[in-house]
Amino acid sequence: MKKSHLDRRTFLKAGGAMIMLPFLEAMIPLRATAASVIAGIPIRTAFLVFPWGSFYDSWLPVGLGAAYQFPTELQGLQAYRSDITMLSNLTQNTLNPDAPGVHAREFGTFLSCAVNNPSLTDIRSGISADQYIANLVASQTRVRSINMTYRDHGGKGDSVYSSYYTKTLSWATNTTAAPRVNSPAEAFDALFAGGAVSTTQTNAEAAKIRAYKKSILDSTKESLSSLTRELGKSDRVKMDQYLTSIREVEIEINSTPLPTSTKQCNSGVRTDSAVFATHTKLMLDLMVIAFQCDLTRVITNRMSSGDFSFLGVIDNHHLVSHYSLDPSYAEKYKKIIRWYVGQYAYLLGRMKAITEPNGKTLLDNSMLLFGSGMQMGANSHTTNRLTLLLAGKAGGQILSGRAIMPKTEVRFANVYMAMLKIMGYAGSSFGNSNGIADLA
Amino acid sequence: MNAYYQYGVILSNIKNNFYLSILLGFILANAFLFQNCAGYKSFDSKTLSTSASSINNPFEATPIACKIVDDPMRVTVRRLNKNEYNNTIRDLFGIAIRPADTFGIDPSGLNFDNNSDVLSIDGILAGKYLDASQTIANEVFKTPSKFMICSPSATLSAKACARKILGAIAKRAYRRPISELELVQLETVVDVASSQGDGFEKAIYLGIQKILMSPNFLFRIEKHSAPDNPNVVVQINDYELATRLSYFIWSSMPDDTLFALAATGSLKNSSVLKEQVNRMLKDSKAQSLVDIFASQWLDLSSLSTHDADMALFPALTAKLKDDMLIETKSMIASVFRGTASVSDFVKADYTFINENLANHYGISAKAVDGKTYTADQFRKVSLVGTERRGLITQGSLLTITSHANETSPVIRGKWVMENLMCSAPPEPPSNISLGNPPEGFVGTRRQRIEYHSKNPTCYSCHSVMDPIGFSLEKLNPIGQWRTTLEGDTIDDTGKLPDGKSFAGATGLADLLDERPQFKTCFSKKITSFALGRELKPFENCRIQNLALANIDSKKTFADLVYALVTNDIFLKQKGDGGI
Repeated sequence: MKKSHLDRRTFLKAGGAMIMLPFLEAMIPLRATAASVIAGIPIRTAFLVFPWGSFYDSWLPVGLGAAYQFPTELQGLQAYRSDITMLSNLTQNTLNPDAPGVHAREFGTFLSCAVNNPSLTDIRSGISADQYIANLVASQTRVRSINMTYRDHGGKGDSVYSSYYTKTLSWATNTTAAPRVNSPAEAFDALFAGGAVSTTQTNAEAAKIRAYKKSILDSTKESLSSLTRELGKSDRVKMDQYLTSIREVEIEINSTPLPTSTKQCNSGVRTDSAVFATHTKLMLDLMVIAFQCDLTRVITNRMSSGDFSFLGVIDNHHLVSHYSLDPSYAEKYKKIIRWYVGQYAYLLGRMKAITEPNGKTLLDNSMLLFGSGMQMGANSHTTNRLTLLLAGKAGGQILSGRAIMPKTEVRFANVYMAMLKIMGYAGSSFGNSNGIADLA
Repeated sequence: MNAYYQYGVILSNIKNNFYLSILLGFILANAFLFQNCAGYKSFDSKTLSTSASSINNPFEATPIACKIVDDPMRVTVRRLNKNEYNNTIRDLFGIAIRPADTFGIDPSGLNFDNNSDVLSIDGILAGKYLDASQTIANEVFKTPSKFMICSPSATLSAKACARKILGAIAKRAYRRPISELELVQLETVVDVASSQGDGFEKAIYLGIQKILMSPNFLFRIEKHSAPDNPNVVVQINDYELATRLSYFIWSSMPDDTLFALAATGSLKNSSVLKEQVNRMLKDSKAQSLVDIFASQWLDLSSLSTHDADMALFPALTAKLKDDMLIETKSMIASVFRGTASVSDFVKADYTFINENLANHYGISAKAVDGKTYTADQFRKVSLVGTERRGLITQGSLLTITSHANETSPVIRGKWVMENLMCSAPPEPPSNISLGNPPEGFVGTRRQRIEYHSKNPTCYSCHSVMDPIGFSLEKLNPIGQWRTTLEGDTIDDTGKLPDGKSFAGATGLADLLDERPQFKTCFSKKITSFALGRELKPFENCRIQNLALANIDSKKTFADLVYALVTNDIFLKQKGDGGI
C-alpha cells in the first residue's frame, strides 16, 4: 500500500523516544476516519494470551513485509498467512524488568501496560486496553466484555506479586479485574444470563421474579449504606466493591429481556469441562458465538495450562519453558507452544468460515491478538524481543498479511494504541505508549 | 515472604522507634524485589553489619534476640471464601448442599485463600450469591422447615411471626445480636410478598434470601470504636472472638455453645477459652485445619495433578497418590488432634500407612498398637531403623518436589526452605550463565550440580538449598528408597555455610528440629491463616517468641493454638489509617 503519510519505518525507528504529538494523527490508519462499526458491521476484538512464554528465535518471520513466511513453529497458521499481521521485536521490558515476579507480571501488565504494584494485597495495575475498547463500544451490546481466565491449578503468586495478577488480563479499574469467567459454563452464563429467561416462563412470572430480586438487592444496598458509616477506610473499600457489584447485578437484571422477545441467537448448549484441552476448546467456541451473535465486542482469554500428557509431554509446562535445565525440554516446550498455536488456528478457522452480511468473514471484521508476555526462560524469563500475532483486518482497516520487525523495540502499548484508534479512541496515549504502531 | 521475614528480624534488632523501623522495612522490602542470589549476601552493609549473619545463613543456629512491637495491626473485613461459605450454609441450616462450588476461584494471598485484603467481589460473584440464595432457600423449604418456629394467627400478626423466624436466623447468620432496626427491615418481607399476591411462606423465603445477600452475612465484620484512628487499639468483643475462633479452627460459623458463651460474656475467661479450644480441636469440623490450612501450607493439592514419567515409575497410580495423601493428612491430624508435638512434622519417627504404602516404601506395616488391621486400613507404624523422619520423607511431598523422571535436589531444597523455614530463595537472575560443567566433564550428578553451584553468584543460595536437597537423594521421585543413582553410590551428606555437617533425611530432621526456623515458620503460617492476613516484618519477633515458647516436646498443638488466640495479635484490633 502506498503511503503519503509518515513512513512506518521512520516512526518505528523512533523506538523509545516520545513522539511529538502532532505526528500522531499522521500515523492512524489511512481510512479517513477510523471506525468501530463499518456499514453496520461491528469490529470485534479479542486478546488471547498463553502462559509461560513464547519461543523467540522460533517465532521470527522469514522475510519481512508482504513477502513474509512463517517459521517452522508457526506453520500451523499457514492457511491464515494473509489474515495475519506478524509483529516482532516488541517489548514490555520497561514495565516488567527481569526481576522476581515475572510470572505474575507477565499477565498483570500484558493488557494494562502499567507497572504492577509489588504486593500480595495492595493490587495495582492499570485499566486494560480491552476495557478502553469496552468503554467505547459496550453500550451497543448486551454484555460489556468477557474476561476469560483459567481453571485454578492451586496457583500462588510469584515472589511478592499476588496471584491476582496472574488471574486476569482485563482490568476494569487500576485495582480490580473486570468480571472473570473461569469456566465455559460461567462464560455461557455471562453471555446468556445463565438461562435466567426460561422459554416456558410467562411474562408475569418473570416480572415477579424480577421484582423479588430487586427487593433483595435493595435490602443489600440499605445494609451496605448503614454499615459504611461505621467502618474504617479499608473496610469501606470492600463495602464499596460489593455495592458496585450489586449495581452490576441490577443492570444485568434490568437489561435481561422479559420472555416476550424472540431469541436472536442460537446459544447452543451450556457445557462445561474441567479437562484442560476441552475447557480451552469450549472457551474458543463461546468466543465465536459471542462475536457472531454480537453479544459482546471484546473478549480477553487468559488461556489455561494443564496436563499435556495428550501431547506426550509429561513434564510441567512451566518447567520445560526453562529449557536449559534439561536437553529434552526445548522440544517438549515447542510441542506445547505448537498446540497453543493450533488453538489460535482453530479460532481463526471457525471465524473465517462465517460470512457476515457485508460479504466479509467474521475474521475480516475482527482483530484477534495472540501471544505471550514473556519469552521461555533459559534460566529465567525475559520480557523483550517478543512477537505478537494480530489476525483480522478490522473491516479493512488493517493491512494484514505482513510481517513487521522494527530495528528498535516497540512497546505493546503502541500496538494497542493502533487498535484503540481503530475503535475510535480519541486520547493521545494509553498505558506506557510512546507512539502508535502502524497497522494500516 | 522470605525477604520480609529476614528483614523483619533485622528490624526487630534495631532498638529504634516503631515508625522508623516500619519505614526501613518498606525500603528494604522494596529493595529486595530486585535482589538476586548475590543479593542474599549483598545486604551485609556496614550499617546493618550486626545482622549480616542472619542474611548469609537462613539456617542460623540460634533464635534472633528481638523486642516485640506492641501493635496488634488490623484485619480488613473478611469475605467468606468458598469453603467458608459452604461450611457456614451447612451449619446455619443443617443442609448438605455446597452452593459455593459454582463460585469462581478465590484469589490466594501468599499462602492461603482466606486473605481478607485479597478476597474481592465482582458483579459475577454477586450474581452467583443471588442465585445461591435462591438455591439455599429452596433447599430449606424442601422439607417441613424447623425454622418455621411460629405461624401467623389471631394473636400473632404475620409481621411479628416473620420477625421471630427471621430474627432467629439472622442472629446466627450475622454471628451477633440483631438490632431493632434490622428486625423492622426484615419484617417488611411480609408486605413485599403480599404486594405480589404471595403468602407468608414466600415472605420467609424472601427474608432468607435477604439475609444471605446481606454484607453482615457475607463478610465477617468487626466494629471498632474509632474505625479511622490507627492509634486506638480495642479488644474484639465476645461474638467477634467466637467468630474468629470458629473460622480459624472450623472454617465455619460458631456453634450454639460458642454463641451461648459469647452471650454471657464469659468466652474470654481463660479457663473457658482453653476448654473451648480443646473442644473445638477435637470436633470433626476441625478437619478443616487439615484439609484447608495444612493442604494449602504444604501445597498438597498439587499431588493429584503431579505427573511422573509412567514408563519409569508405573507404581505411581491414582490409588497410590490417594494413599500418600491419606498418610500425610493422618500425620497432620494426629498432631492437630492429639498430644504429639508440632515438631513431629519434621522429626516424627513414626507414620501412618496401609500395606500398599508399606510395600511401596519397603518398610514394615506392623502397627505400634499391636492390633491387627486389614490390608487397606491405615495404622501408625514405627520408622525406627529406617532413614525416614517427618513429613518431608513421605511419598506425597517427595513426589511433588520431583521432576517427572528424576529428583531435583534444588527443588526439594527450595521447597524445604520455603515451606518449612519460611525463607525461600529468590529466582535465579536472568543475566548469569548457568555455569554448566564443560564438555567431557566426568562426575556424578551431584558433582555436576555442585559445579554449577560454585558460581559465586549462585553460591549464596545454593550453599543452603543444595545440602538440604542432597540429604533427601536416597528417596526417589516417588518416595522409594535407593542407594545408587546413574550407577554411582549416592552421597547424601552435606555441610551448611556455618560448618555444620549432617547426613541423610534423619540428619535433616535433627537439624530442622534443633534450629528455630521450622518452629517460627509453622507459627507464622498458622497465624497468617488464623488472622486471614499476611504478617508484617515487624511482627516476626512476636511470632518467633510465640513459637519458641509453645513448640517443644512437652507442648501440644492445642497449647500453641491457645497461646495464639490469647495473644494480642488475635484479640485486639487497631483503627485503620496507619501503616
